[in-house]
Amino acid sequence: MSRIIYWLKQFVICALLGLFILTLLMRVGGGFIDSNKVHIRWWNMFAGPDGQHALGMVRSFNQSHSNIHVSMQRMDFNTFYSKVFVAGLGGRSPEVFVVHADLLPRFVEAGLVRSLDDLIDQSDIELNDFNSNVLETVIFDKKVFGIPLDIHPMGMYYNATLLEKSGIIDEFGKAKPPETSEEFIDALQKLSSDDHRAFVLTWARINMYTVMRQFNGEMFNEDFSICTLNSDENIRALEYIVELIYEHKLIPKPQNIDPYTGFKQGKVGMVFEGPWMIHDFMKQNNFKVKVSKIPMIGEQHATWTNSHCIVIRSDISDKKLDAAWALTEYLSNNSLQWANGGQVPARKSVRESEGFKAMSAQMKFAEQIDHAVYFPRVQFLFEFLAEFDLAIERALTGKMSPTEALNHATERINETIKRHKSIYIK
Amino acid sequence: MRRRLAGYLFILPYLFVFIPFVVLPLFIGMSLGFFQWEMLSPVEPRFVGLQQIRLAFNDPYFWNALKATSLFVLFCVPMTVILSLTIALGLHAIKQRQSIYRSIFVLPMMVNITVVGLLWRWMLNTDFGVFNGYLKYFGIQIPWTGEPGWAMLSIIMLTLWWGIGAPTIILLAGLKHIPKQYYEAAKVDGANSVRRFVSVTLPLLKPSLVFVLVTQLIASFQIFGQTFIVTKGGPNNSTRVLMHHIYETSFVQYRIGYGAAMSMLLFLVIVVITLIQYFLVKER
Amino acid sequence: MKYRRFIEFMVLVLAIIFLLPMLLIVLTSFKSEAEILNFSSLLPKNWTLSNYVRLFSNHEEIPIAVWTINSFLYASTTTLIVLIIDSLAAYGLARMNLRFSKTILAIFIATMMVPAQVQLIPTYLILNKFGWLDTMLAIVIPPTANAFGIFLLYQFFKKIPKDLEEAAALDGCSRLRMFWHIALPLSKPALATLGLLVFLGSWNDFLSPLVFLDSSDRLTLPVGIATFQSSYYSEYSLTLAAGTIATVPALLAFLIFQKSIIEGIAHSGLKD
Repeated sequence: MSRIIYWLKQFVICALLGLFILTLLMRVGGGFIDSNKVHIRWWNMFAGPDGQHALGMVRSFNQSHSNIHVSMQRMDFNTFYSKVFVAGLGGRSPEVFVVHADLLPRFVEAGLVRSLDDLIDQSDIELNDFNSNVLETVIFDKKVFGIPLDIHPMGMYYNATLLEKSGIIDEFGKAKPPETSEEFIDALQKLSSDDHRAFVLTWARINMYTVMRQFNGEMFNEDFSICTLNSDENIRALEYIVELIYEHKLIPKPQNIDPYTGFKQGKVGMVFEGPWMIHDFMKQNNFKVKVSKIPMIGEQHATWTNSHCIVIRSDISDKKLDAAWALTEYLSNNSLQWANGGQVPARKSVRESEGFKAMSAQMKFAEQIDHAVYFPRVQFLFEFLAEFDLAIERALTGKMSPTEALNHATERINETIKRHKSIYIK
Repeated sequence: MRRRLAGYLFILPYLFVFIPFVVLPLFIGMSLGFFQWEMLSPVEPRFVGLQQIRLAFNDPYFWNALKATSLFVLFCVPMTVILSLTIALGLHAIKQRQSIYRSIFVLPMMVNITVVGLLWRWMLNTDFGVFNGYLKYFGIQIPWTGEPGWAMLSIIMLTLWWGIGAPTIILLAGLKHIPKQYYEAAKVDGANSVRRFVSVTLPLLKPSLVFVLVTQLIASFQIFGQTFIVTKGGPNNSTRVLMHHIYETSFVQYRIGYGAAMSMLLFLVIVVITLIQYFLVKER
Repeated sequence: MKYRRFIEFMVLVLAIIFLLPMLLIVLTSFKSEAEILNFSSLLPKNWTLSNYVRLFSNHEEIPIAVWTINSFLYASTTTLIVLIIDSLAAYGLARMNLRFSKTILAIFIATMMVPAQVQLIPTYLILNKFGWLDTMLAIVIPPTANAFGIFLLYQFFKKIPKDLEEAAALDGCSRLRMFWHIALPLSKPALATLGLLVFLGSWNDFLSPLVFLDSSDRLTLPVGIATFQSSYYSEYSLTLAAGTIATVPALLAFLIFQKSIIEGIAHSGLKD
């Protein structure tokens, strides 16, 4: 036995050594760069299935542009921003990258991204091809700093099989998703049973933001100098959901990390989620999943949204600028391909194409664009959201009353505003 | 003299990496704590002295993070030591199949944190997870990540599972090193097994135990990956540990200076605790 | 005898508890996505290799072979360098009667207490100055400053009997040759232990490849696996299959070297 182990050991040592030398040789030998091409890097946060579509677009771009080579790197949301930021520190930002519309203020303020007006003037991208509420997220001091690639408002996914079984149907016997607050409560009551839940809060942040905006809530005053998170409207919105959890027991207390799992298992009737879940949700084959607009729970229609914007680093060399812009244009022009991943193209002309109209689920998301709302345009959005998350979590889990939780958060955010003013404004 | 010089020459290659990649980063990192440097601000970094240390003392989230970290250390370190000692004693007592069992306890250490995090998130899921799926047969449902106390317990369980391997083999090796004669002598004196454990095993195992304790303490204070991936600091910030708070301050809010100042405080806490431990052990 | 049976039974129970999550990773990687979602039993009802096929068939999107080779290359180079420079330094400190050897050792050990995040940005800036970012050097060199290794080997070298080296000195043996022909062969177990720990550390490191590397063909397995998950979406099937693959080399290394490793720690001087 020990003899065998001895020889096994010898063998493995030799094999590892061989592999080591081999890989070292490969490293030294390979990796040459085609110097005839302009190399640019494109970083994005398209981890998961989104990234596959992005890779496909890069592949076809590289094929159709013989003088440019784009290498794409994808990371998940959190690590992406850390990495872009550290790269910026070392002067190694990628030539082209993606920033969420609501985080653009911070990047613009830091001077990390380039204004694109001169490039847009010479290209066939028309600014009025974007909806005004989408376009205004990329304009700062009348200058455009990014090209919105898509818009991803939150929608309602529902388990049509479950709805039909519970008698939430129209006159043809098909599932009829709730549209008003009465219908929503009715659906909650009909769907609740021992083996499944009517509705779960998935990403509490955007779920609650939507409800607050539906109740007319505002996060800040006009010039963002005072936080109004503890306004009566916001408190009412939060109390409404808290009551559904604790008094009416129609929604389970949120205590999970991946709450959408239940929906995928067919145990949840309805969830509010973004279009990024389309593929994952729709591939369930033992029940039918459909998409509809977010019901009007409060006093007006509203749904949270965000966009992926393509931006170019501010200190880009002239040689690379053309290539970077070519990529930006290409991605925007071909955003129909991107829509396959579930996103809604930001450009109206693309949304009017036959190709997009064939995507029925994406169309449902697109219907909500007019009353889609972004997070407030503040440079300290991360700090705001950290307090926002904590406050709604405290209220939804019953650790604090809605009023108390929102008051606490408002106080902290106002401190942040003060600090931000003292540090950022010269 | 030449001999001395030769000795230092032996250390030289290490210094070539030690100075640029340990001393220099440490020095830069520490001095950043005295500067107010917000990466995304157009305002240049400026020297503010101890202002950011004061800021940390007035930051309720800093204290909350310190509390969460201390709670974790307070429970996880003793549990790790006790569990690894139990396993090591058990492994030591059985002679057959020892290497198989040993491998099983070391196995989790080899899985990387991304996979470990995903696995545990799935197992711990309150409504649809593996644990509660089985507990349902007993009519129990536990909010593994839903309540502060349970969430901390979940993180400790995960850490125990993931990290028990290293302390176990260190203690096992320590046990193997205790000469059999001591036990035989104790037996002759009529000591029962409990007595033998207290008067022979423990004293002779002390160096290994101290080593495990010190390294576990240092590592536990720096806990990050587990909470960052599995509970994301929640619920109600109960598992938002210091490293997590520092990470978010530096890399999400881009407040480099403040993040560095808090790291400095964490470093001081670790040093003080290690020194206290050192003197407590030395006294005996 | 009964007593021993009982202990073995207890160890068995504990071992099963510890093994279950591992089994869950491996067995689940052979399940279909739908079966993963609706967990009903540990064993797959329908065994499938589809996750592995997906993992290996799409080379452009998931260059797992490249990631594995990179991880292996980085981890083994780091290990090799650590073994060389740590053993040299430990030898110098332990056997050369240096006046400040205790102090130097204490300084080295103290650096183990520095939280890793403190060093991240400074290290990035330094690597940038060196022009090492996005190269293998950025991953391989910084972690070679491994004080733990010096500590471990120091204890080991201290135990080598003086007469062995004195005899060698009489034969006109140089210090370097003593190091090579006496100290190193006697400390094989310690070197194996250190080698394994460094290899594992590098193999599983997530933060430094993520921050210091840009090009996707230079990434490592842990960073690659992380791209299967986004903040609101996780591909369990791919992650668990890749996790299984990433664990195998580490496991093989441990199984083969485990005897030396246990000896390594047993003799590492933790006794006093």
